[in-house]
Amino acid sequence: MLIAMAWRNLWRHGRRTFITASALAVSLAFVMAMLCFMDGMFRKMSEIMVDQATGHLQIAHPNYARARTLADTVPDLEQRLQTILAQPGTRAATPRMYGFALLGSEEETQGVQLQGVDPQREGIFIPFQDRMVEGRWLSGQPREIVLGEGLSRKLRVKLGEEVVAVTQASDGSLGNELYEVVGVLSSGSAMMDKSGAWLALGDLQELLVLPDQAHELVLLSTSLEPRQGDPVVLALAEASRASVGEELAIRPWWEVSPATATMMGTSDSTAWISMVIIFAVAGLGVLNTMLMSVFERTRELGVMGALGTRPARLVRLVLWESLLLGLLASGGGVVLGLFLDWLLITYGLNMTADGERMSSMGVLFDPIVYGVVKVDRIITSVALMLVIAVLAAIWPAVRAARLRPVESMRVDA
Amino acid sequence: MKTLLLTLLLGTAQAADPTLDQLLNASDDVLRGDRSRAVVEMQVKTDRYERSMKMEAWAEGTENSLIRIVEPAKEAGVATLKVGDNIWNYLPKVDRTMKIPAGMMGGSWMGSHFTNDDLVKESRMSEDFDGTIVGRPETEGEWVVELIPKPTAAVVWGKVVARVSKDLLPTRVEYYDEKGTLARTMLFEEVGDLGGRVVPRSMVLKPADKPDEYTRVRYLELDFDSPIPDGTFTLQALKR
Repeated sequence: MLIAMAWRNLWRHGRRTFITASALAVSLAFVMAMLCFMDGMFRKMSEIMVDQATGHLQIAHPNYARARTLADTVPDLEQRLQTILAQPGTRAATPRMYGFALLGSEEETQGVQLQGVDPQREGIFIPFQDRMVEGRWLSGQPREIVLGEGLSRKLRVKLGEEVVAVTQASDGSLGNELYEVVGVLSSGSAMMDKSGAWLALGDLQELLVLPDQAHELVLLSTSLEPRQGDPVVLALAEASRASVGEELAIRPWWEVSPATATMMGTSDSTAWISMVIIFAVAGLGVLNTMLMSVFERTRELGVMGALGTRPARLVRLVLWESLLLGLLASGGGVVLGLFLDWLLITYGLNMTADGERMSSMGVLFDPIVYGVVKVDRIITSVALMLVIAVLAAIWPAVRAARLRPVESMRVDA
Repeated sequence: MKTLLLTLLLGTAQAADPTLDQLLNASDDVLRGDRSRAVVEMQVKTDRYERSMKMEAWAEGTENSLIRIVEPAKEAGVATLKVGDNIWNYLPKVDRTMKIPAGMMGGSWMGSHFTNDDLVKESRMSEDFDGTIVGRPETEGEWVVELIPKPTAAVVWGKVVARVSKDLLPTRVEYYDEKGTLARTMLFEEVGDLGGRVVPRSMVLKPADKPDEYTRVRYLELDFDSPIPDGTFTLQALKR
């Protein structure tokens, strides 16, 4: 009965209602598009900064993260890797080994950070094969090496030439070996481009005298956007603990790289702040409309009061009017918002003017960000808009309830 | 290598007490010929590994030296050439010579507690440090010399304290970092006959922060008279 009355009241000024509802709808659509874009950005960030960098989980010797001592390895690597790949919840896993060495060409010698990787498995994490500037990624054949772009310039080597690596192996001996340069890559990290070189894990194991070992086992869970404390990641950690035993450390990405976690965390609060600001502006429009409609109906509301309508009921009437306005707007807003989302998902948004890859904090981004739609985001924004519509109507509603019937009825309307 | 390492004691005190000057010069003459050839055994013990190597070393003054590994078989033929401030390693397995870049001079030499820098800098302590006698045999039982780096010197130590016995033999050198904390100690042990002179036959380098670790260099042979062919200290000779 009250709702029907509120609904009829709304349409007594059809055009005004329509305009206010449109403003609300547009702000809702805009918020949806913004969230869609931000979630796209977020997914991209998590791909680049988590999946492609730290992975979701890292398994290592408990001292390795702190001291990075050569001999602090994951032993019995092959068997452990097979167990981990077989356990449920593992999307991918790859071993990594790090070592410092002197790399010498015919002309130059440089200190480098060697990374021993499984060429095939590593490709699932970091698409090195797509980042080659020259030549190709490791094939898995022995004694191949891929150099960072800056490093290859410093060493002045060409593809097909040999470089010699010299290092102090884990047994104190002087490890040395020749490798053929098969490719040059731009990794996205300025530091690695300047001093990084990649070779097959087996080759590095041999050079460093660390057979069947690695420094890290990196895992991906099935979670697409792992957040700090992600239960999917934690479940995988749990499963891995059973697989690898107690003597190794298992760390989720937010422990490996707290800075990344902080950065990803702030993007969520940014979304909330923007959402509240946009809706607050739209809410002012609602406030204005409702205030006007209450002023116009001073006499009518006074009559209602005189007839015995309790103030609380008047409050509810005005709030219902605003809520219905909001519901009306959310219908149109969601339709428009979904259309904008569809555009973002299909065409993406280019973040640079010239389409070049952009770099942030030493990490290269593909400049086109594609939107990601999440139902819970839409529900949240609609709910937030409705809450704001109701909040905006509180003041007009209270005014309506405070009218003194006798005086109000003297007002011409 | 002995020549290199001992020189730090020997060439240091020109400006100091004349007694010390004489004392160090006397030692110097005993230990350093114009040219020398030595066979040494190096034992390295770390928390991670223990290894022993035998090498042959040639030296000419303080400027040039060549060290070639004889044992173990895996590393036999690996050689280090030092000429002035530069160090090259020769790697027979890949038949390559590699110059140690400036940034790598602080790195370990052959997995020992000695750095590449030690090979270069130890022979030039007198250039880089000012020496003062701070202890005498009457009070300390031996000579104690404190060496402070000259303001212009590019050295990693804040202070070096060297001790020399009444018999003019080095006994101990302490290296302090820039904060004044002891970083490592070198002990001279096994005084005995070597190449016709009475000298410490063995040197032990101990890092202060790892009490269980050390590198011991023991002289098996040392002679000052055997001829060293010209061209020994060249890159060509390094490969032989």
